[in-house]
Amino acid sequence: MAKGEYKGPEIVFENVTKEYPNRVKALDNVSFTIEPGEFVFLMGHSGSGKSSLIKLMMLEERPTSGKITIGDDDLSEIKGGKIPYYRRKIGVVFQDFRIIKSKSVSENVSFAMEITGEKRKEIARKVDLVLNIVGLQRKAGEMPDCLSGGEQQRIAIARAIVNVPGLIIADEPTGNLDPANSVEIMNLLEKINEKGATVVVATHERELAERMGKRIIMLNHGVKSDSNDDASAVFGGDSDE
Amino acid sequence: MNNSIFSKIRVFFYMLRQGAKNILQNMFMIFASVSVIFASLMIIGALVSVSANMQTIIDHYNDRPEIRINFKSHVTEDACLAVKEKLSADPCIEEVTFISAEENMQGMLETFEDDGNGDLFAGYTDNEALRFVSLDVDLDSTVSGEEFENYIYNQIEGVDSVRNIAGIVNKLETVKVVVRTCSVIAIIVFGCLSVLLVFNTVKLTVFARRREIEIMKYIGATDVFIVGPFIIEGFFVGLVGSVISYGVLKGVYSLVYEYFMKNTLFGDSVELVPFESMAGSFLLWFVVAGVALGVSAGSLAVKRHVKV
Repeated sequence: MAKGEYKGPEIVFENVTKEYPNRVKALDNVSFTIEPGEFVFLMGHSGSGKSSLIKLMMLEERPTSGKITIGDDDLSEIKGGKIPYYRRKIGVVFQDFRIIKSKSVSENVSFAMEITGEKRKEIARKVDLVLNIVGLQRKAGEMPDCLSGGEQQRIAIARAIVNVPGLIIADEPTGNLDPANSVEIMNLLEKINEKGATVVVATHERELAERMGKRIIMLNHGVKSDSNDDASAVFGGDSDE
Repeated sequence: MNNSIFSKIRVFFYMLRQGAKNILQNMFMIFASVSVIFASLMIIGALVSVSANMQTIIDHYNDRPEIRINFKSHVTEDACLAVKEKLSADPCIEEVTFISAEENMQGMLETFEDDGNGDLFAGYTDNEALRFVSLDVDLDSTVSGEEFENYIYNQIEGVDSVRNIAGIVNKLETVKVVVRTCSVIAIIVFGCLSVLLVFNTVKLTVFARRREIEIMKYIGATDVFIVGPFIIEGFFVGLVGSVISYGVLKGVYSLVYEYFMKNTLFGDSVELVPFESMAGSFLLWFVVAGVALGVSAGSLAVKRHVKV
């Protein structure tokens, strides 16, 4: 995969508020822009609104108010039947890997292409390619349970990138990994970012995020501030900053 | 995004493969579901067959005169015609038809010939004990068959037997209503039972694959792609259940049909509906009902899980 193969979209949140039916306000008037091809960390404690923000980007939830634009897509205009096609433009990685234990490494990855009706030959070629990128080409036929946590997360990353999505969303991707594996996964995400993908990583591991030297968007009780902002002055929240 | 017709065909075959995989991994419950659909359709099919034949039998008797009076063999044609005159004068009687001993003998001969025993009976055609005259009577609606039957036995000399066809028809009509009501109840009860069992079978597969379904949603699988294999599983259960029940019903019905063709019903040879004349409708409705039950149960089972 050459540099620029991934067409990372711009992400724009404009005054987005998300309130759940139980009156819990997960996000409160959050605005930010992530540039095309940017690598950004979403940071905050549990309950800070990171997951809600990711759910909004995945169209798992809709905002109570405000507007979200990802690339050419105004998310409010994407209705039910179009959501799967929108999600194919996003690669998603979870803390608990979410790989299918009954499928081999290569099957877990090819699965993401089968839903699009891709040709078997093309699937085999691309699966081989991405397993090479994540360093699992020699373990293609193995079952996930035989692999370490770091390797299982690499399967999830391979699955996330096999359809060459412009946007990679990783929700606590290193949450279940030791420090060495965490660094490897971050390096892998950075490598994908260098090829043009916009990468958004939600994490509560401040040290890891700071070591990467990327922009950090702080969330605290649903209120946002950039790492370089004076959170209190700009947003009035009790940010970590 | 590859939206070509070929990619859709590939997705369809992928769903078929997954459906087949579900079936192979869940054989015991599939067997249970097929059995329930089979049993339900058999019971419904049996009731519908009985109902269809009830109508044929009723139509058969409706074509007959309401009352037939058979006289003893010593009663002469003149005596019988005198009774005819007497009955014809009664305003409650619409029509009286005389049947000669010759016609009765011919009728009996035909019945024996139909049963393949024509040669056996041929030697008895001159036997005086078997020669008798009859009257066919049509009553108007103000008189009941039972009342008239009693009147004939009590007031007319030389009567051997009275066949009250109207009475038989009334009883058959009552049985037909009961059978039809039972059919409707059976369709509802067994329909619900089948949906419930197939629902649970597919639900087991869905439960086993819930994580896979969740992942599918996140990576952009359409609802059709997710639901497809489970609907195929339900379709398979319904199709197999319906085809087996059709085959078994056909076999059982043929045996019953042959039995009634060799034996008489109410002392009369009644032609039942041959299975061939119902086969097309049965096959169509069994397959439609079986597949509809299976598919609806499969869709219901997976519905909640596609909402991610």
